[in-house]
Parts: sequence; C-alpha cells; structure tokens
Amino acid sequence: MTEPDDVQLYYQTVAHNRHSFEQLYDRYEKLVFSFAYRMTNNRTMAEEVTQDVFLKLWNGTNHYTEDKGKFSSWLLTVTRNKSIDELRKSKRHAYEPMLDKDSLTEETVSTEVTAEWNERREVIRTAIAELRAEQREIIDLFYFKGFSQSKIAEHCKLPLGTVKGRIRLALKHLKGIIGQEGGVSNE
Amino acid sequence: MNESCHMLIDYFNRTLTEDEMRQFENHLIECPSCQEELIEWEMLTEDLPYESEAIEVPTDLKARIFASLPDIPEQAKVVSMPTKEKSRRRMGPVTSLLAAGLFASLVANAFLFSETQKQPEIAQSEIQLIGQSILAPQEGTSASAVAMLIADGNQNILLLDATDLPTLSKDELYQVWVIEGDQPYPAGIVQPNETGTGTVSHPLTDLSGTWDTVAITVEKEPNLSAPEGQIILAGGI
Repeated sequence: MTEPDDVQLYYQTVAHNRHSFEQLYDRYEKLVFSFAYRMTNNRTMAEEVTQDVFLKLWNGTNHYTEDKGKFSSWLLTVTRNKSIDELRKSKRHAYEPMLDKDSLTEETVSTEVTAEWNERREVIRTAIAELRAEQREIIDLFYFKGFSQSKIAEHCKLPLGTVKGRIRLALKHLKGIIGQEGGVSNE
Repeated sequence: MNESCHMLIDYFNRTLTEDEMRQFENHLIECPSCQEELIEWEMLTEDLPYESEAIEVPTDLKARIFASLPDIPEQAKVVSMPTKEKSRRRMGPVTSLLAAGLFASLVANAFLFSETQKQPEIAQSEIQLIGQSILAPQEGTSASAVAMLIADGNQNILLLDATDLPTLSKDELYQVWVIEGDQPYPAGIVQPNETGTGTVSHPLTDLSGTWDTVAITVEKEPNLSAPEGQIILAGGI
C-alpha cells in the first residue's frame, strides 16, 4: 500500500485526524526542528518554533493550498517566518555573535533522516563552499538571519541600492552550481 | 518600478511594520513584476533549508505538542471534511486577481440572470463580496474551483465556478456542500459541460452565517443529508 502524500495528510490533519497529523509530524519533525535551530541557533527557540508550526497546522491557522507550491517548501517557509519572528522578538539576532554550533549539534545517524535530505544537504553544502566568502555571508545574513536590507547594507558596507542585486547574484550563482551538480530535485 | 518595489526584500524577510506590510501587499496585487520577483526569490531560496544540519529532536517534544492539542471529540462523519478556519483565507496576489476577475464575471452573470428571470430592483452596488476561496483539489484530480460568498441585499449567495471536473458515470453527480461547524448542508449541484466546467449560484437561506468551508463531492443522489461520496475539491472561505 502506498503511503498517503503530504497534501492528503494535511487535509486530514485540518479535519483533526490525529493519526494523519502524527504521520505528517513524524515525517517533518526533524527537518522543521533542525531548520528552526539553523535559523535561531537556539534549542529553546527551535522547540517553540516547531511547536508553533505544528499546532498551527493542526488548528488550520496556517492554510496551505497547492497553488502555494510543494507542501514541504510551504512548511519550511512557515518555519522560517516563525523563526524570524522569534529572533526579532528576542532582539538578539543582530547583536549576538554566532555560537559555536558544533558544540551544540549532535550529528545524527538516525534512519529517520530521509535520504533525500542527506543528499540535498551534501549538494547544497558543496555548492555553498564554492561561493566567494562575501557571497556566503550575504546569503547567511539575508536568508538565515533574516536581516533587513538596510542592516545588510550596513553590515556588508554596501550602498542600500546594491543589496538586492548582490543577494540575487549570490543566490543565482548558488542555484547555478547546484544545477551543475545536478543532485537536487524538487520533485 | 516604483518605491514600493524596493520593499520586496524586507517583505520577504518580514522586517516591515504591519502598515508597511499591508502597503506592500496592496502594491503586490497590482504589480506583476513584484509578483514574478517574489516567486523568483522563493525559487532561489527553496534549497536552503536543506542545508541545515540534522540534529536530535528533544525526546519529549512530540509528547508535549500532542498533549497540547485541543481535545476535539471524534465525529461520526460519513467522510472527513476540512474543518472551518478561524479567519478568512488569505489568497495569493495572482489568485486574488483571478478571483476578482471571476467575481466581476459571476456578479455580472448573476445580475443578467436575475434581470431575465424577473424584474429585480437590485442595483449592482448592493452586491458585496464577503469571502472568496480557491478550493483545493483532492488526491488524483486536476479539478479546480473558485467559491465566493456574496451578499445580495439581505441574502447571502454562494457562487461557485469549477473547471476540469472529471467526467462522471451516468448515475453520479457533483454535489456542492457548505459546512457549518461539523454540519454539512447541500448547496447545489454542479452540472459540468463537456469540457468539465460548471457554475452554481445557490442562496444560503437555511444557514446561520457561521459556515466557512465549501466542498464538492461525487454522489449517487442529490441533496443528501450528509456527503457519502468522494471529495473532489474543498477549501475554507
């Protein structure tokens, strides 16, 4: 028997079917938590984000429709938005130095980690490593730290008007490398 | 490009104030260039979450989350329907535009229809859009539908326009439902043409007005007290 797909599980979840919710939860718990941790660099905040994301899923507060793209991409966007909100609430993201994540991170050998995620992570990390340092930095400030345009300009000592172009260039470059390596599929 | 276009990055990163957020969303509806650009930013960043290191989730997190779920009594439903939402669904800018166009067309059709059936005193200005939604197709179908709730004078009317409905066998029909709480009400039959397109206009006289979910199912009989067949499309409104 084939497993129900994400969209099917989502609609059953908003109809308050616990079993479907649990399947969806088990499928994405680790990815959501790990991504929230990547964004916040803080376990407590990552827990709060994960809890909020899944509770809103159950309550139907965050509404998904297929015109919003793949369910997993939408779920990760919701996770990112919540992480940014939490970071902003804490008012720490712009001022605290990066923690040594390796000291907090436990590399997992769990079979729960999907092969797809491992594969994509390898490809993306290899691609990021090929970027110039300033491109890596601008992607980090923009995407993972969620800085405003003016904050990025200030941080990178760039004119405000050139920030968007620099981010786009870095992301396009990254996408290009990922494409060449051919290991990432969105299907 | 105008001044608002420059806010796209800060909109994407949620660094705008609530007022600025609203201002940009209003701009987004009217700016195809920002709509395209936003899709591009989403596409350019879609791989990045997967860069995250897999880390161990606290062992009790799942238990805590499940313990905090509101206790909802199991309903003996014939089929599982999406529950109502707390707030109206926010539509994407592109679908909003499509829906707005469709709304204008449906209102015009409804107006022309009533003009030819009787002598109405209804002015178009009395017709107001209360809610709208793109219904999501269920597994294995490419069907789509826009549902709109309009107030026509003192009466609420559900307008629904569906496309790409799969061909039915002779003894089947497409039943529209609105759901109030857990109670479904039949709200018209869609009779698709040969291309799978069909429209329904249904007055909602028996409902208290608190419903906010619309669905289409395949049934053997019209106007059953509860759906028995497969859900084809469903969504909050």
